[in-house]
Amino acid sequence: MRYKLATGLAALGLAFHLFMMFVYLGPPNLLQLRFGPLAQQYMRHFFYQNWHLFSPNPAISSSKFAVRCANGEGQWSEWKDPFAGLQERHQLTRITGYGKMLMMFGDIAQSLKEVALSEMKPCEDKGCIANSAFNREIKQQAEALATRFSIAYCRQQHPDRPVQVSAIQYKILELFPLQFTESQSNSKKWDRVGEIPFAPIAMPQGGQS
Amino acid sequence: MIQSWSRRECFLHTAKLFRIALLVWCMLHTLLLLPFHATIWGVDAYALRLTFDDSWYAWIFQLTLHPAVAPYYLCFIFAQLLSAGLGIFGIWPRFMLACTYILTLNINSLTGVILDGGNNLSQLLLVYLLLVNTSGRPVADGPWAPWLRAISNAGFVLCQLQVAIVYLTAGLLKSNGHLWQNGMALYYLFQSETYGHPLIGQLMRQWPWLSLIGTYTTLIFQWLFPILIWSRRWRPYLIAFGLILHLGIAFGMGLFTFGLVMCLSYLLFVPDDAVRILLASYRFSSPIRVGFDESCGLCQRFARLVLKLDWLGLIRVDGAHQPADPSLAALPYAERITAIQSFSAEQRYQGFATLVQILRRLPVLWPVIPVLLVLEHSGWGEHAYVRIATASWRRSCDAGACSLP
Repeated sequence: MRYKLATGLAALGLAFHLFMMFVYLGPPNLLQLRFGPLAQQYMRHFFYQNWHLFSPNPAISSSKFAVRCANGEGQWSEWKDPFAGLQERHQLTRITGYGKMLMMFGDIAQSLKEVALSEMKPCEDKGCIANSAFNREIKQQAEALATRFSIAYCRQQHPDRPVQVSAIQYKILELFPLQFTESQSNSKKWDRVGEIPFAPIAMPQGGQS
Repeated sequence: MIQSWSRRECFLHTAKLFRIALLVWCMLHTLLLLPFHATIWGVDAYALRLTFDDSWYAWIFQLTLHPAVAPYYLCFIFAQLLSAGLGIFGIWPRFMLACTYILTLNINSLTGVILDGGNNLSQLLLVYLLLVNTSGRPVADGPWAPWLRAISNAGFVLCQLQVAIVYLTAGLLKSNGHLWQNGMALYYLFQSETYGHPLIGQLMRQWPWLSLIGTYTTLIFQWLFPILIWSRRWRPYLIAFGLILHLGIAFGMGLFTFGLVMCLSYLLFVPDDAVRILLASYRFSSPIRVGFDESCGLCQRFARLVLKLDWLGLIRVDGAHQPADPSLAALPYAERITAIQSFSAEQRYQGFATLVQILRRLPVLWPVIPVLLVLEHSGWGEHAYVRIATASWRRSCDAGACSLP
């Protein structure tokens, strides 16, 4: 009896967990309407999961971060991709932490792009995304990170001699690959490149490093 | 099988091996990022970070977000490495799993943007493994034994089901995507800056058919895995395909830790008996006496290599024509010449089994032991051995007239 009870209760616990998982991961339906809040509560801390894994569609475009720096005389440098070296090393050796580093830096560009795109959409009511406190918080954080990174990057360009950086500017490039129908007949890599520029930021006190 | 859940632990050895594999993965994930720790986890990391919300959950699992604790993130990292290391060696395995889980969540909460499906799966499996007896020793009989066994078995099945659910959910969600439907998902994935690779991207551009085949086979695999993985007949094929797919993701798309944890999750589906044999093969081995054919150049080169790699001093090299060892000398001459013979303290081995016994005693070759066991138990190893042993090119000199360099 004791053996049967132990087996039965373990199987019951397993069935309950699977049912909660089914409701939590499933599409909106009657079950989710009835048990959704319970499933959310049950799963959110220890059993949170998301298996989108490039679904429903993988992202078609890629976002890239570009920086340029102005020297003491106010002359701007070329636009540079600060992660090009990291990307190259990641493509050369996969068993490293470079991939995660790129994910982290890539998220700055992604967040800035999403905020900028949400602001471009017409905002007719108070509840729209661009006006939300969350969006403002993300925007603030992403811009602060991008600025901090750009300043550090510009100062690192000449580590051997202190260089005056009077201003920095960054932009997000959105790279769209060729459609697969054109991929064989066209020799260029990208179909088009979109740009989201951000205003130049002057360095406080002339940016003396 | 469910009926026996409270009577015996059906996954004793597999659970032990999986605990070791998962903790190794946790360690590896942290070690790969350790050179960049300040950039990724430091106070001035370049990552959007959550704020400490003062809930009970945050005090245990997101303590690193607390402004007073954040500068000491390295303590969490080294504590995680230590607890995972102790867990790997089986010291208080359940307690070490719990510590590793808490510390991993604390580290992961520092930089949520670098987490992927692999991190999500590893966290879930760490929780489920807390229910499982991963010590490798059966629960001692007592009033609580049936309950502990039943919970352990249910926890292990939950780990297996979780892996199946990953594929089921991902497969169903992909079915709604037009790029997966028209077979061009892989083309766009490999053209992207984030997950692409110049070489594979170029291949996809030249032969878009590769994308079509790859996309559809991925979809079919994800649909079939949750069903066919329970069939003993189909399981090896599914696992073989899954390994190719996930190693492709690891090295082609650069999602190394995700690809690796998915490959490791297949260990959950390896039968307990097979894992028992595998684990036994790593135990300390007794010395072995091997009779190498003195007239065979290949055998002599192999013997010299074995002597170089025999760091534990467990292999005594002897001759097949005139062995010094009495057990080898007692064997008929024809047997000693046709297949390599060996004796350990326990038993006699010949042919491919001798090669397995030799390689088991060479630490540098321990990673290939699983492959050798598959070859030995499938009979392919012996078949290949006989082909090589009887090949005419093998003998570079005649018996008794062989000059060795």
